[in-house]
Amino acid sequence: MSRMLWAEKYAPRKVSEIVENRKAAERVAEFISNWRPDQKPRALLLWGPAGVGKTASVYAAAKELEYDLVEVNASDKRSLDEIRKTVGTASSLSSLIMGRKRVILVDEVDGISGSEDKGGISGLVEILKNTVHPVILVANDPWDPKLASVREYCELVRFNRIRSNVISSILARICEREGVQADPAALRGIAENARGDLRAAINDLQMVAEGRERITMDDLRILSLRDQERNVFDILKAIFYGKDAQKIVMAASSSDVDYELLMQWICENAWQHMQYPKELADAYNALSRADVFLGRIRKRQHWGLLSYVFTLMSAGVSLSRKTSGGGVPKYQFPSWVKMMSAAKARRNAIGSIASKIGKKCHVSSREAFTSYLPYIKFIIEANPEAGANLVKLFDIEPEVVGGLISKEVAEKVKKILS
Amino acid sequence: MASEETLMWTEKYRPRTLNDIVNQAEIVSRLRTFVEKKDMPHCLFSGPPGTGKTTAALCLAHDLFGEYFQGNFLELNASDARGIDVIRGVVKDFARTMPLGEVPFKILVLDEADALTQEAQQALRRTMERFTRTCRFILIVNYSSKIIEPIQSRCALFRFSPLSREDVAKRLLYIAGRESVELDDSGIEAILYVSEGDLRRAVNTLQAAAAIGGPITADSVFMVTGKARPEEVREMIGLALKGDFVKARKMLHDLLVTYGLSGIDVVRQIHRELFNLDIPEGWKAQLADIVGEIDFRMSEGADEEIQLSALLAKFAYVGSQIGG
Repeated sequence: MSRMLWAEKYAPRKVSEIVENRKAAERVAEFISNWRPDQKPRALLLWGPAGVGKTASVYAAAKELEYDLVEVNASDKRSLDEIRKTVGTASSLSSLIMGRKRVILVDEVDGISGSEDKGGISGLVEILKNTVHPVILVANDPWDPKLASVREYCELVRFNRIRSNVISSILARICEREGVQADPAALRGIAENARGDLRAAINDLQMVAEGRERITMDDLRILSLRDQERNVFDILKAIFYGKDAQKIVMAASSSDVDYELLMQWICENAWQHMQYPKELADAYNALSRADVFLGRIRKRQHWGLLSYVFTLMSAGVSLSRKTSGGGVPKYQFPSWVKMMSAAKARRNAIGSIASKIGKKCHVSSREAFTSYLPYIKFIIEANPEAGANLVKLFDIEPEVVGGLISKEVAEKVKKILS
Repeated sequence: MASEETLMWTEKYRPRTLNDIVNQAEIVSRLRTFVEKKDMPHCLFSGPPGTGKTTAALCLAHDLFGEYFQGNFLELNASDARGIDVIRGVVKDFARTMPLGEVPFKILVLDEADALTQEAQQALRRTMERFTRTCRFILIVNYSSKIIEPIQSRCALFRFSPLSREDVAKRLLYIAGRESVELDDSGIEAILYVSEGDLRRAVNTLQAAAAIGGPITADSVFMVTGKARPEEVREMIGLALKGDFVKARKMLHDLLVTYGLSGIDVVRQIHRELFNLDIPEGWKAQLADIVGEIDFRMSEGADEEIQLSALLAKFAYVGSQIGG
């Protein structure tokens, strides 16, 4: 599968491809093509929730009208300064590509920090005053007081949330193009979960579809995990940057993230904060002790032990670091959880084979898994003739045979059995 | 086509009657008196895997019940049955009806009874008492110490000793002869080495090696166990000791998911590999202590992935101590 983000791959190329917020997109195109240096209002301010096509409509319009797009993020002060210095001089900007016109897109305008960065706002106003190119600003919340002076120069264009039936029909088209089979119910589920955010829906679709040829409702479980991600990042930061043990424990125990999942997050990411092998060993030792207490709770239903779990998994892990931590690492979703959810179907199938073996050979399925399955696997591979009988005896389904052993052997076994 | 029963050699060559059991002589003679008197107490069979506990229970029941075996015998696995309530329900249904034939009780075998929690064992004890007139229990465990005192004191205890190398070798040669498979000395040695006294594993290894075709030698045996025990374990420890925790942990995930090893498989294999590591001898026992602790925790129900990650982190630390 291509690594390209589907949200980019399937972004609209023409204004007419934009389904929802069409009027707003058309206004963007009209504004760009009719723009004159002396006009008022000087700029457009596109506003609305994330992932509804604000930036996409600027891209589509620029492409269609054959403008070059200069995009800058408002919080990137250095780039904004560059633009400010050059925006008033038409020649310098168009010197490289003659004849092509430019449109300037300033994204995340509400991300400009008002207090520390007053220069940001006044720089932006300066751009709006002097520009000889159409400028389009994008923001989620245009009513932020710090944007008052910016608003004076702008016409506001509102983008709305995208209805979920529109989202699911777009998802269906993407699935078709990618050759992914999808239950309509699953697509509706993804669409509704995205709450009007088309980009999030497409990203979710791509994540769910990864490694699958077919998507069903069952596969959506990982999405609910993803929903909590932002929340988890904050908790992880509180845990790993805290200095006060009690506060660290509070951060872990008062969160609404499931604590077993949180343990997996910590397990996946703790190493990034540990500088020395001793710290690494101590951190994971604390986590493993938390897990031991969790095991005792499960076994004996001693819920009173839960507070030790929280203390060890948070403060125990975090305070294993004796040196001061560096920058904020990039937290990763627990790879183990991802692998387990992908391998779950296969595990279930293998589990049911193990239980059949167990019944016929007088052992538990766990024992069958370790003391029979590897040998049976080997027999099937080494000698498909003899193996075919075992496949039959233990009702090993053809699909699972494929998962257990190589494709060629699975084919051979199928032939022998038919 | 061969009949079902004979496909797996462990089943094909499982003794059917107490007279066929060649080892555990003392236990067998005590069980024979049960058959003669047509009476028996509740029993607790303990011993390492593959030493004949389940077989002895099956033979005893066959000898006692003869043609009435089917209706009078039930085998349950505690680690498969979901909770004591399920077990209690099944036992109730089984023990409620009168036994067929002239033996006045039925036999219920509860395998891997050490998988039950203390509370579940208390409940089991009450169930055993309630149905004791119509049903005798045989509890099978690896360690009798994991069974609570009140149950132990109500059971006749049978300790199955590990099979001697000679006994295992004899059995392997017998089976090889019946199957017309050539088995040379190096093959026997290799099977004895990898099966560690577990006859079940030994016979499975024999059958898998025979599937290759040709005589069974050390090479064919290690081909079988090579598949069952991937090289990656060694590589993973190497990475951890070198301090590459992230890569080592990735390999761990591969072993657990792609190779489908259990966490216990992984630690046991790590333990064996310790002796092949190029580190000062003194550290090996210390590492074994860490490995054993993790093994214990996992067999008590701890999370494989977290425990093994902690193990790798510890190895990374030990590696840094050795290196510097």
